[in-house]
Amino acid sequence: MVDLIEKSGAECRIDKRDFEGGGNIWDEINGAVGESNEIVVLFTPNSKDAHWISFEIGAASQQHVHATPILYSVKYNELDIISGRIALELNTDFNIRYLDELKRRIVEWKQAEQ
Amino acid sequence: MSYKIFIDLMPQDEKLGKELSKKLKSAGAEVLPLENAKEEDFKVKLKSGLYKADEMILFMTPNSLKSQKLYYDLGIAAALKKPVTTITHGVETSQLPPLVSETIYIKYSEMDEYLSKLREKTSAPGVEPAKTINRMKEALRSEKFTWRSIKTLADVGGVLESEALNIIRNDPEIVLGTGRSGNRLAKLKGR
Repeated sequence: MVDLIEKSGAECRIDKRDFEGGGNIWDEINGAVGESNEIVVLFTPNSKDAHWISFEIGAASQQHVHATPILYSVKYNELDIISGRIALELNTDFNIRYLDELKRRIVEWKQAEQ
Repeated sequence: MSYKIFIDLMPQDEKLGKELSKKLKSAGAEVLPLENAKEEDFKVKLKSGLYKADEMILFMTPNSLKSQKLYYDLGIAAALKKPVTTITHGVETSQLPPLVSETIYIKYSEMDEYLSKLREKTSAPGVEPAKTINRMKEALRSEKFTWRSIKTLADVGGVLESEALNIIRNDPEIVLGTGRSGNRLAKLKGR
C-alpha cells in the first residue's frame, strides 16, 4: 500500500515506522493527523479493535482531514466508528479506485498551494 | 461563567454516570446532559456536547475498555485541545491503554481531591490563562528541579491537573515525561 501511495506522488507517513521513539502517542498521532492532507486507515482482523485507530479517525474527523477506511477481511458493520463513511475493499478497490482518487486529489492540492 | 463538563461513557454505565454527574454538580460544575449515552447518532451528539465543554471526563469501566467509540471520542477531544480527566471504576491502572494513561486518571473511589479542586475552581474567579502559563514556566525554571509533576504545576497555575496537562501538551517550549511511578512530569525544552 505504502509503495503504491508513494508512487502516486504522495509523501507517506506511517504510524509504526515514522513516530519518534519515546514520544508520546497522543501528541504523535494528533500532530501527524493534523499535518496530513489525508489519512488511510487499514482495518484488518488484527487492527480493527486497536485503540489508536479509533483515536486517529476521531482526530481526523475533528480536523476535517479526509479519511479513507480500507477493509481487509473485516466487515463494514463491525466498525461503528466509520459508519457513514465510504470504505474501500483492499483487494478490489484500493489499487484502482483509491489510487485514482488520490492522484486527482494530489493535483487539486498542488493547484490550491500555487 | 460556569465550568462545563462533558462525561463520555458507555450506555451500560449510565447509572454510575448519573452518580458521577451528581458529585460534579455538587462541586459547582455544569454537567452537560448525558445525551451521548445512547448509541444512535453518537458522533453528532458527542460533538455538540464536547464543543461546549471546558473539560471531558472519560469514564473508564470494564465496559468501556474495548469500546472503539470512546477512543474515537478521545481523538476528537485531542483535536479540540480539550482537557481530559479519566475516572476509572473497576479498572486497574495497569489495564489502561497507553492513550488513556496519557491523560490525568483518578479512581472513582478517590475523587475527593479532584472534587475539592473543582469546587475551588468553580467558586473563585478564574486565573487568566497568560498568568497560569507564566507561573507554570516560572516553576519549571526552578534551579532545584528540572522535572516538575503536573500536579505541582496545576497547583502553581491555579488550574485542574487536566487543564495543566492540556496547557503543557500544547506549549512548544515544554516537554512531557513520565516518572517511575507512572505520574506525568514536565520540563522546559533544552533543560
